[in-house]
Formats: sequence, C-alpha cells, structure tokens
Amino acid sequence: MNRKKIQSTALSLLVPLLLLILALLIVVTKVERPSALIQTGVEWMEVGTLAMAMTAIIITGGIDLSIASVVALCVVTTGVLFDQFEWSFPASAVAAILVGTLAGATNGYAIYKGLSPLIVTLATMAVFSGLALSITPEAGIQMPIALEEAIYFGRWPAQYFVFASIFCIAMVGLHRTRYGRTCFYLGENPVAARYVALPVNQVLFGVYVMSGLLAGVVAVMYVMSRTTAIAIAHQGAELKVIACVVVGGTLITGGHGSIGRTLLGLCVMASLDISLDLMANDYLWMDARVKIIVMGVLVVAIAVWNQWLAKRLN
Amino acid sequence: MSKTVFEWKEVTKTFPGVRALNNVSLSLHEGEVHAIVGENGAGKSTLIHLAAGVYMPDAGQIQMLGGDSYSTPIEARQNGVVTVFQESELFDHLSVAENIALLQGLPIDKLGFVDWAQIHVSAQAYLQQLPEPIDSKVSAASLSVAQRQMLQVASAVAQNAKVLILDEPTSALSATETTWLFEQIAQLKRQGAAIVYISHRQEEIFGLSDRISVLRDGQLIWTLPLEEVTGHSLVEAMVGRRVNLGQQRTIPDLTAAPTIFSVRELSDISGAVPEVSLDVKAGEIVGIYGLVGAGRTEFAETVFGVRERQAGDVFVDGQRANPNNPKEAVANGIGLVTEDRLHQGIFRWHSVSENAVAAALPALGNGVLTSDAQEQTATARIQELLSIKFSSSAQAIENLSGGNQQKVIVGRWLLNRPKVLILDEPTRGVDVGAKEELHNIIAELAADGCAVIFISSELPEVLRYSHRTIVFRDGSISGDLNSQEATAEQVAELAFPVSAPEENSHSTQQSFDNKTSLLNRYLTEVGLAAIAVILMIVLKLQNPSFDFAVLFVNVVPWAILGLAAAIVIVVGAIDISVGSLLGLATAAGGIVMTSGLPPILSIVIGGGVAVFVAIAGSLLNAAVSIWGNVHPIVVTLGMLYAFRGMVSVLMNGESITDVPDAFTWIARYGSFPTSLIYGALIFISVHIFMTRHHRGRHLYVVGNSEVAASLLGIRKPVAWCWAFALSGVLVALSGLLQLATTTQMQSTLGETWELDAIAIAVIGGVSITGGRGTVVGVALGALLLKSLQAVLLQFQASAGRIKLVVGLMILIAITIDHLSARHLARRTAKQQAATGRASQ
Repeated sequence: MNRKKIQSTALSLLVPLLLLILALLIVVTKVERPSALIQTGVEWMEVGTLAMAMTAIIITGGIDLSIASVVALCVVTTGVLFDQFEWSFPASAVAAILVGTLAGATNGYAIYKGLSPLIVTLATMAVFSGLALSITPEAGIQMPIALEEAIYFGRWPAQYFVFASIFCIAMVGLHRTRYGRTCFYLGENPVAARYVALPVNQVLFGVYVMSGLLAGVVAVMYVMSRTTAIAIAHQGAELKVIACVVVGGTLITGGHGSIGRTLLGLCVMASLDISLDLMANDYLWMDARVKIIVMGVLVVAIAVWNQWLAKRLN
Repeated sequence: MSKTVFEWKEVTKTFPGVRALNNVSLSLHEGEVHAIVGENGAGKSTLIHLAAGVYMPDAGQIQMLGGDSYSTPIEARQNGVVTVFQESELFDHLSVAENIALLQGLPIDKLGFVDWAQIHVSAQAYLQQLPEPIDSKVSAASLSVAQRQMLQVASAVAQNAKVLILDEPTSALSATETTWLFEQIAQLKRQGAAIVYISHRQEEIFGLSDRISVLRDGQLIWTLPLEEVTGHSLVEAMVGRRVNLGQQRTIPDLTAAPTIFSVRELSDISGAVPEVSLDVKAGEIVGIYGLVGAGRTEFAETVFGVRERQAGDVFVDGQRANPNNPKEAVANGIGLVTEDRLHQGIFRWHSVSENAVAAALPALGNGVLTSDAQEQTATARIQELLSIKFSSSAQAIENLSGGNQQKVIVGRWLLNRPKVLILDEPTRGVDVGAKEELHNIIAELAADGCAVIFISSELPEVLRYSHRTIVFRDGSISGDLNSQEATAEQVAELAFPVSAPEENSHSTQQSFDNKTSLLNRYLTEVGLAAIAVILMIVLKLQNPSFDFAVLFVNVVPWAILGLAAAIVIVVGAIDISVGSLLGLATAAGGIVMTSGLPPILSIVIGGGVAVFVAIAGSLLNAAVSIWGNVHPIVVTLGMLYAFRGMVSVLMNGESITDVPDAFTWIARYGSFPTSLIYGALIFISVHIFMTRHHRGRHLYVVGNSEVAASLLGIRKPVAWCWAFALSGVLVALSGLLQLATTTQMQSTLGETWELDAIAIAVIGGVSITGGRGTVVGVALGALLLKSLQAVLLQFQASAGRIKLVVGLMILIAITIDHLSARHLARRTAKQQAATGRASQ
C-alpha cells in the first residue's frame, strides 16, 4: 500500500475516532448510574443490527430509506397477531420476521428490475408505514410485561447478543463470502460485474431481503423490551442507520466500505447520543432538538469529508 | 490555386497510452469535397473531434480562414464548422425545434427570455430542406438515427456553414436519403463550403470527392487529387506494406484437432448480427478483422450471452451451449475479454488481485467462503505466467500501465481454463512491447488446446498473429482466409464494401411517423385531468353537497410545494427536506410577523425573511451536493432532520398565533378565496419562467443530459443553483399561504410533507430521471392526489391508509415511467441496427 492510501485511510478514521474519544470522555466524566447506560444502549443495538444490512446495501451503490417503516410494520404485525388473532408470541414473532422479509423482497424485486433504489424505498417507506398505521390503534397494543423479563439474559438484554451475533455473521458474510464480495464489485462497476458472471441480480435482491429480515428481528426485540406494539416504533431510524454507515467512512457512491467501519460509526453515534443527553442535564438548551440538528449536520459533513478524501487519493 | 478555408496545422494529440495524431497537417479548399480515409484507430475520429472543438490539440493549431480560432463546440459552430457525428447526442425530451436552436445557443432578448417565434421559424427553415417532413414540435426522442443526421446536415446548409464534416454519413441512410444527402453536398459546394467526407465506401469516395487524404496510425500518408488515386493505391496506403512475411509465425498442423467452438446461423434480436456461422478448432487462433459497424463486437457479445440471441446455435466441445447470460457462457467454458477495458473490464479502485480473481471466485474458495490464500496464489501464478509488472497485488489496478492492466484482465479469464477465449481489441491502448507479450500469451494458450478468437482493427496484427483471418463486413462474414497466404490488400478489400449499400432488409424504409396529434403530445396531462375529473365525480356522487371550491382551495399550497419538489427533480436532483424547510421558513417569517411591528411592515419583512431562509436552506443543500460531491439524497436527508431541529429550537415550545389580519388576506378576503389567485399567479409565473426564460430551459437541458449540456457551455452547478433557489422561494410561498390560511403554526408544520410533495411531482408526470415535467402537470397531479385523498376520507379511511395509497401512487407512477423509457430504448436500438449501423 502506498503512502497516500495509508494517509487517506488514517484521515478517514481520524474524524470518527476523535468524535468517539470526545464523546466517551463526556460520558465517563458525567455518568451517574453506569448501569442505566445498558438500557439506553438497547436502542442503538437495534440500530446497529439494521446498519449491518444497510452497509451492504450502500456498498452496492443503493440505499434503503424504508428500513424504519419495515420495522414499524413488523412491530405492528406482532402486536396484531398476538392481540387480535390470539396467536402465541413465538408464532407472531416468526410471522413478523416473515413479513419483514417479504417487505425487503418487494424492495429487492423492484430494484433489481431496474428502478432507482432511492425513489423505490422512499415510496415503500410510505406504503409500509401507512400499512402499519392503518392496522393498529394510535396508542399501540399493550403486550404482556412478562416479555420484558424474557428478553434479559442476566443483566444484559438480548439486543446486545443479537447485535454481536449479527455483527459476526455480517463480517464473515460481507468480507469473506463470494456474495459479499459481489456487493463490492457491483457497487464499483455494475457493467464489469455482469461480464465476469458474478451473481449480480441475486445479490442486489438479496441485500434488500436481508435488510427486511433484520428489520423483522429488531421489531420482535422491540416489542419484547418496550412491551407495546406501536406504529411509530423506531420512527426516524433510517437517518440513524445511514449515519452509522456514513460516519464510519463508507462512501455513499458504493464499491468500498466495511462492517468494521460501521461498528465504529455505531459507537460514535451511540456515544454522541448518550453524551448529549448527559450534557442536557447541565446545559438545558442541549435537548432532543439540538441532538437531531447535530446528527443531521454530522452525517452530511462527514459524507463530504469522506468524498474529499476519496478524491484526494486519486 | 484554391483558397484554403480551414486547416489542421501540424496537429498532435495524445491520449493516455496512445498517440492519436502525430504532426498532421491537412488543409481544406473552398468548394471541395475532401475524403478522409483510414482504418479504425487511424486518427480520423480524433481529427474531427479537434475540428469540432471537443478536444484541444496538444501541439499545432486548428485554423479557420481569417485566423479565427475556437476552443469549444459552440464556438466551432458559431464559426461555421458543423460536424455531423455518427452518434449525435440530443436532448431526448426536448422538441426538435429546441434541439436545433440549442446547437447555436437559444435566441434570447435582453432580459433572457427566449424568442420562441424565431426558434420555430429557424427550425422550419431547416426542416423544409429534408426529404420527408418532420414536425418541429415532436420530442427529439422520436427521431430515427437517419433523421438526426439529416437534421444536422440540413441545419448546416441553412446556416451557410463554411465547413461540414460528415462521419460515415451513409451508414444510417437509405438510398433515397443518401441521394438527398448528395444533393445537399452539391448545394454546399456551390455556396463555397468545404466538405469533409469520412467513409470506407469506395463508390462514394470515388464518386463524390475532389481530393482524398489517407491517415494511418495517426499520420497523414498523402493527400492527392482524385485523378491520381486508384482503388489499389488507396487500400495500399491505408494498410501499408508492413507485414513482413519472414516474421510470420508458423501455423501448426491442425487437421487432426477437434472443432471445439462452433457457431451456426447466429443472429441477435437487434439485427446487428444478421447471420454468422463459424468453426474454430482447439489450438487455433482466429483473427477477426473489420471496420467499425461491421458487427464484430456484437457477434462476441451474442456468443457470450450479453446480447439477446434471436436464432442460431453456439456449440462448445460438441455440446450445445447457447448462453443466455455471461454466467451460462462461463459455465460452458467461454471467456470474453471486453473491448472497453475501462468501463467493462476493470474495477478501477479495486486491487490487482481482486481484479484478477473476479471471474474465478467460485473455484478459488472453500464452498461459499472466499480464501485469501488461494486468491493470492492464483494472482501470483498469473503474474508469473504473463509477466505482469506491479509492486504489490494489493495495489489499485488503476495505477498499472495499460498493458499490465490488460494482462490482468486476460489472466482473469485464464484462471477459469476456458475452452474458448474471445479477446475484443486486446492490444488497444497497449504499448508495443506489451503487445508482443500479449500475443505470446495467446499463442501459448492456443498451444494448450484453447480455441482463441481475437478481434482487431489492426490488419497487420491480425495477419501476423492469427492462423486464420476472418473478415466481417456489415454484420456477416465476407471472407475466411489463411493468414499466411493472404495479402493485406485482399483482406482490406473484403472489409471495405466497394459498392453502395443495397436496399436489403437492414435499411428498410422506416417511415417514421413523427407527426403527433395534439392529444399525443399532451397525453400525460390529458390523462391526469381525466382521472381527476373521475375522482371529482365520485366525490360529488358520494356527497351531493360537496363543495369543490373547498377542494381547490386546499389544493393550492400543496400544488406549490409539489412544484418546488418538481423543479429540483427536473434538473436531475432530489430534495426530501422541503417539508422541514417549509416549517423553518414559515416559523422564521411567522415570528417576525407576530413580533409587534406595525402590521404592513411586519408582513413584508416577515415574508421576506421566510423567503430568505428558504432560499438559504435550499442553496445550502445545492452547494453541499455540488461541491461536497455527495448525492442530494444523503444531503437532504441529513438536512431534513437538521431543519426540523432548528424549527423546534426557533419556536422554543411555543406556537405562533395571531398573525396580522392583513396577512390572512392572501388566503381569504371576507368570503372570497384569494388563495386561488395567489396560487394562479405563482403557477403562471413559474410556467413562464420554465418555458420562456433561458434559465428555465437550461434546467431541462441539464436534466436531460449533463454531458451534452456541458458541451454547449451550459453548466450543471449553475442550473442546480437556479433550481434549488427557485424551489426555496416556492417552499416559502407555500408555507406562508398555510400560515395565512390557518392563522397559526405549531412546530410540527411541514413534517412529513415532502412525501406528498414528491408524490405530486411524480404523479404529475415529472420523470425521476430528470429533464421532463410541466407546471400544468404538477398542478393536475396535486388536484388528483388531493381529490384521491378526499375520496378516501369520504370512505373514512384512516391517515395510515391514505399514506399507504400515496406510496402506492408513487410506485405506480415510477413503474410506468420506467417501462416507457425501456420501450423507447429498445425501439431505438432495434432501428439503429436495422439501418445497418452498430450501436457503440
């Protein structure tokens, strides 16, 4: 590897690392009840799980704006099947995951047939979210408290273990299998990828199906730990998920990136979130609204920085 | 002595890896037809691109009579140099008249308004020259290839061009059209223009030209008057006597070798390959020679399954293969090294080893997993075998020389141990040393039992390195010779058609029905209006007391927001932050208006602040997308949340109430719905801007084709800034109307509205790919969407169900758009090949 590439790699890791260190410093100095962080982190473990699939999608040069809505749809499906149709919880959970997979397959089908991922997932975002809203009461469906206990393994909720497992699977899947490698080739040069007989259509379809499947899994965990099945579950999560991928250093243009980098991005986003919350105790103006401004601007700023670094490398 | 009107003076032009033109001096005389002849890659294309102002020479000058020089295509045209390329890029969704006008720059007045009357008058003048009439108002997409070329020629005549350059003009024209072309040429000669005629059709060359110049390998061989040139001397000059038989490779005795690759009556659906039959034995090297448009690459692509086969069979090792896609081809033992290394071959920023193993991943792994060790071994193996020079296999392939890159690509296919390997122009852009090495590799491959086919435009290369030479002409095989015994002249004569093109099934008289009725042209708008009317009827039937005035009043702010989204989409971008931006701008304006200033002052300043904030936010989106190089979807997604947060901070938990009474008059004055007038004024103004101002037209131009636009000097950043700024204004105006209607505002105003806005644009006929859409369409789209939502409400649909329907409407709209674009592309490809020309 030449010096320029090493420099650029180092630079692209620099910004997220700095942010991470800054955020961790704040957290460590200001946290009062460390055990409470476990609860706060649950949401980010769910986001992280979704980000695993989003990484692959962005590497292929696409995007999935509907991911939060698929989660919502699956959440609501679980609730409705359990409450109104009186299915057992395990059965409802499996059905929800199937629904998520189907939703992902719908996206995947339209996209591998040639429609633009951006507008397809923008439309399906509305379709799935609308569907979720229409089959459930506004206040959501209450689920039995027992579920909340079931999700704990000792002191840690299942989300952590699920994320860790999905992370390992994604690491191997994206970086060590033929199908994962195809994502990279496809994102870089879709024409050449077809000429070398790579399974382009299968992969294009598959990454969106994965995304839907993971959304289903996250939905089940959500229902268990929040004990409500509500249609606004994980509203706005698509920004958080995309932020994890972009802040980690993966290029939006596709062809490059890694699961490891998304993990870094996830750590940055999660710790920023927690540190901003802690700061809000002392500085009342730093509330939820400021948080989303920061997040929005951060995603854009780092995307620009990454693009500039990539250009510099050439 | 004839007057020189145009000159290429000691011109040199080099591209990475190849010197296209080497110190070429050529002059054009007044009133002459000057034929320029040469093989592919001789430099003709570069010569005319220099004349057209597309490239600048590295050394030497391009000079017009009078010493005028120019550096852009539009300046070239203004100086009277008209170039008719084989592939002319037009703005598909713009009218024929506008396309013609854009070539010279739209005629505008002092304020920038386009003079449409003049555009149509000029267009008529050009179109009248054509053998068959074309309606100037139809979109350019409906023009056939022949019509596009004739249009350019006609405009040259009408424009009194001083130099007309024709690149293989008759390849797309029928006999009648060709006759017309010759008449135009004669007319131009009388007007004193110089005509450059590039062709390989000997009858035309000898029938038309006054002088002939021959290019070979980037050099001018000679320029002679017609009387001093014969068919033989021409071919001899083109190919040269460079084949040194002493260096000819020995052809092995292949009588006992099995036929391992066989093609029988193969044809593709577009007609570029009408019927080809071919046999290749194991260990044989077949060289395919031919000119551009002969169908060689198309043949290779059909064999490999990239092009759809219509009829015929492909056999590999006795088995019927008939691949329908590359995967099946590879499974059957076929490999293809593509012609365009950069766009079809390499993964530029991937490493050398990643490029090398790309076609052999299934074999180089452990089941589903990949194996670094096996990949490294494979890469090392081909590095040694092919003598590839790189410092590390982890290096990006981009950094290797052309020759080494090509070796990696060849090596990629070798890893699969193919039975048949087709190489399309394998030594293009490769230095001499690497060329020899590549052919050694090919020879060794054949010696191992592979059947090798290489396609080349260099005649000496084909004769020297192949056992058999196959000549392609107009899609079929015109000759099959022993490479050792054949002469260059023999081969060249087989490749260059001597007679004029026949009236065969290729060049069927496609009488293109360009005449479209008024209905056809406005089909989208008419359809939308029809659906909207049906919905309104349903509304009235459901509820006889339904007040349509209320519906129309509700539609207005949505229509304005939809228009804001539409303008950005037309220029080729997208903005999903329009909803939150609306909230932010309205909040800013509303705060000023309720701050206690005297009413009129507060309204004016408040309105101004709202507009300012919206324009600033929108331009920020534009700037970051353009100069930060990030796709607008990511930028506007981030800013969507940022704006939302800003609204919250700005309003600080309170709501805005008690706006000045005077302000509410823009929505309602007493019982009169003034919002309708407000909306109408806005729509009319934007309509005028988009259709009659050149800045508005530029939005469509850039949205249609960035590349073609930049050739005309119309730059994307400028167009995008105009689009986003205008969008910002409309966002503010929509928000202000909302505020005036409801007289109060919460911090959640505008949240999630971008979805409806984009739906309105897309339903209204704005194509997501850009370059198409009308203001009227957007208005109808808004009416349609809101009527639909009203109908749903009447049937007591929930908010969720309505959202679901909106999403479905977007999906339906983009599917229709996609299918119709694909249909158009298929039709164009079919008729391009049908007129005997290969699409590039």
